[in-house]
Amino acid sequence: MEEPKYKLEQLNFDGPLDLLLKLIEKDKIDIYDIPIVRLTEQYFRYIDAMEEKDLDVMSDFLVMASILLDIKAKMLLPKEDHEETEDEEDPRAELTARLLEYKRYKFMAHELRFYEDYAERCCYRDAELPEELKSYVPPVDLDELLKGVSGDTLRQVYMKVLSRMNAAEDTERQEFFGVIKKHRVSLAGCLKGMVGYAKKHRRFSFRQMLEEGSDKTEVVVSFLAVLELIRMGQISVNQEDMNSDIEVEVNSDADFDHLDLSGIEDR
Amino acid sequence: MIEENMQGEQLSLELIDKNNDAQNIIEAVLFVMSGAVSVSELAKACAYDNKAAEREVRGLMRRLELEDGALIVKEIDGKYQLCSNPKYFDNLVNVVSAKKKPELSDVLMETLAIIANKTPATRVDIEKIRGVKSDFAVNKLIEYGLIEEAGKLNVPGRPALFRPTDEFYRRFGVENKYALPRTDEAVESRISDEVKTEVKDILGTECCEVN
Repeated sequence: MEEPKYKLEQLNFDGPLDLLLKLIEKDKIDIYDIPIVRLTEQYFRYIDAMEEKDLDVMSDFLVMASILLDIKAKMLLPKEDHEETEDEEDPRAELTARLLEYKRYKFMAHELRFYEDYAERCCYRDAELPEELKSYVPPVDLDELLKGVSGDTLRQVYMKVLSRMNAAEDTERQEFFGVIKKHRVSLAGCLKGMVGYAKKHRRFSFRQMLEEGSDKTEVVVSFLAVLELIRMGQISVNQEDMNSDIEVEVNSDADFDHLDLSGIEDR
Repeated sequence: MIEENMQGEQLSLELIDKNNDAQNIIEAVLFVMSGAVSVSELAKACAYDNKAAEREVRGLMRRLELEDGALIVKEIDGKYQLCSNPKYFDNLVNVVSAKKKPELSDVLMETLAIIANKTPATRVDIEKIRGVKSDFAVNKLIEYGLIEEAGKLNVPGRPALFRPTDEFYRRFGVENKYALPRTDEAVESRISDEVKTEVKDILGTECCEVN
């Protein structure tokens, strides 16, 4: 390898623009060389060398590399003389502007460190307010709050809210596809259904109880209902192994008619 | 004794107005409130309008500076706070235990400079300048309490806006965004020359004039 000057010994740069600057700084390249190719190569090598392939970072570098390629390509194309290309921006202008802008912030960041050294000598009190002051909230002054609000302004605001609501509804597409409603399964309802089923069958399998076509939510909620009934001491269950059916048996002392379902909440 | 000093300095005699009630009230409020206090709060305390309160706090600022005593007033992004005279720092460190401040890398400093200058700024603003994702830096700066969210920009995606915190202005001794370090003409022409050479190096041709 005869490219020791491009060795990646130093990887402490931040981002493609910074890498670009560091590479140029490190090695003044011959103007008539075609450094853009090597810089591009350098980008790819950096990506290869990355320990962790971070797609975000990789794409940042690719964008930078392709901007450079784009500029180069534009400059290689011969300009047509009869075309007044005055308003067409020089392809290098954007790169120059970006580098300039970036350097200004680099300078600012550098200067801020000096500011920090000086400012360190000013000591402030720690913010420690008495509890009652900290938790003080000024009382709401209703008159102040409702100043200038009349029944009419309220009506206007209400109309605005309504129109915004209507705008959010996609009436056009609803015509074709209808409205998809959220399917809610209530635990309390499921529990009642199960109690009814258990009264008829003293012994049944979980699968058998679930009707055909039960969706995932129904299965989950039914299982919750089973757990709930076990907790209430109404049923016992038995399962042979992990994936087999659950055998449910109603306890001999079960009292389905006096179940307290008030604590059952749907989440 | 004060009388004597004042006679010795004609300049300070004009500016020092020890019997100014409003300035005393402001000083008392600044002392008690400990954090940075807004002009409207100061105005409320001395029953002035904001403009008059601002004038008085500025007057107090000048007076304390001239007196060169224990305390001075600093502007913290349009608010005001008391702090100790920097010349007694070396004495203070002997007794006051300063909290260890987190070390800031170049990435964080650059990001901070961009946010402070463009405030309020979105992540994209930062990425446009640094050419790389800013999530890490932004999150770290929030964690260090140097920037905070300042609402959302009303464009698609509603990106979060960030601004520097009071702590930023305190830590770097910057009064407001206009007091941030700027490139002067010498620096401008230096970096402009640098960039010209760099663009030439990258592209292998002379660069055009760009401002």
